[in-house]
Amino acid sequence: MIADASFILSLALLAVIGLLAAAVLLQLLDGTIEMRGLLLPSPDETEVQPERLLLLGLTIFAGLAYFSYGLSQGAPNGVMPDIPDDLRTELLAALGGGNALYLFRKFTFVRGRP
Amino acid sequence: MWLNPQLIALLIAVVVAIIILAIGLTVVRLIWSKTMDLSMLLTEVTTDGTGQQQAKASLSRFQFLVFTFVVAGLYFVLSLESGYLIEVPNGTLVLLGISGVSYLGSKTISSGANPPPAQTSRQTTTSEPAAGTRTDNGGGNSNEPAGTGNGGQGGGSAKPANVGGSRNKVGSGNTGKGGKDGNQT
Repeated sequence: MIADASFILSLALLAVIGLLAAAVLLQLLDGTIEMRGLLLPSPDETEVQPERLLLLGLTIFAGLAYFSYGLSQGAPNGVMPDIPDDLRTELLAALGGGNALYLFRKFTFVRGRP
Repeated sequence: MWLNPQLIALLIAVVVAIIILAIGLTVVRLIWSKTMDLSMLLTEVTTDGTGQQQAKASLSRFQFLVFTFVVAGLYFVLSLESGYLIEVPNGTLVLLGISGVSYLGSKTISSGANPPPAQTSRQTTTSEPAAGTRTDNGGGNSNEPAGTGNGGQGGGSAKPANVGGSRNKVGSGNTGKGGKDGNQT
């Protein structure tokens, strides 16, 4: 009986989390959540920083790739699918390097400010 | 019959579950009705070329949000499919860790560039004229920390935030009687 309740609860929890994600996504899409200046180091700058563009692309690519890979693999052994071995080094290096470059440029930009 | 342990366990489980779901639904409802304001979810305060503080979206916050949704969504879907809570491998934790460290690093850099309003206010207060000189803060309590609505008639504490854009309201509340430059968090 508790197992049935657990399943129903899981579905309800999934609905709540889905609604939460949908609310955030809708507010991202309708502009309520401010996205202005995502690629700029400062609001008064006009030039897009290339490393920000790189990191944005890497983030979206890594997120989508991992999600679709995870869905296709499933969890047969009770373990969430890991990043594929042939991609792990490259993906983590690209993400780590992209983030390091972003932080370095941000640091140098802030240091250069009056 | 009423002392059946399984029945009691089921009742308690249902009550606890209803409470948790009610909290979740309340949060969703508040977000939906925009009572819980998410407009600053991705923004950080930066200093522009003129030294004024402005709000803009942060890429590291966005990355953190994306990876959180991806990992949490995948975990929940696969757990539901398996019927039990699955384990998270190290590679996924590294993925989350990279974005978390990047977010912390970004926040550290930003906060190093923008000192907190409370410190700015305290520095200004201590540099005010010496004893015997009346400092007019409009009746506001100058010992109050910034952000608590220390409303002076334009006197006293510093104004840390002048945020551009109609929706970008950050910084401490320096509002009150005559304080028309109040910023809301």
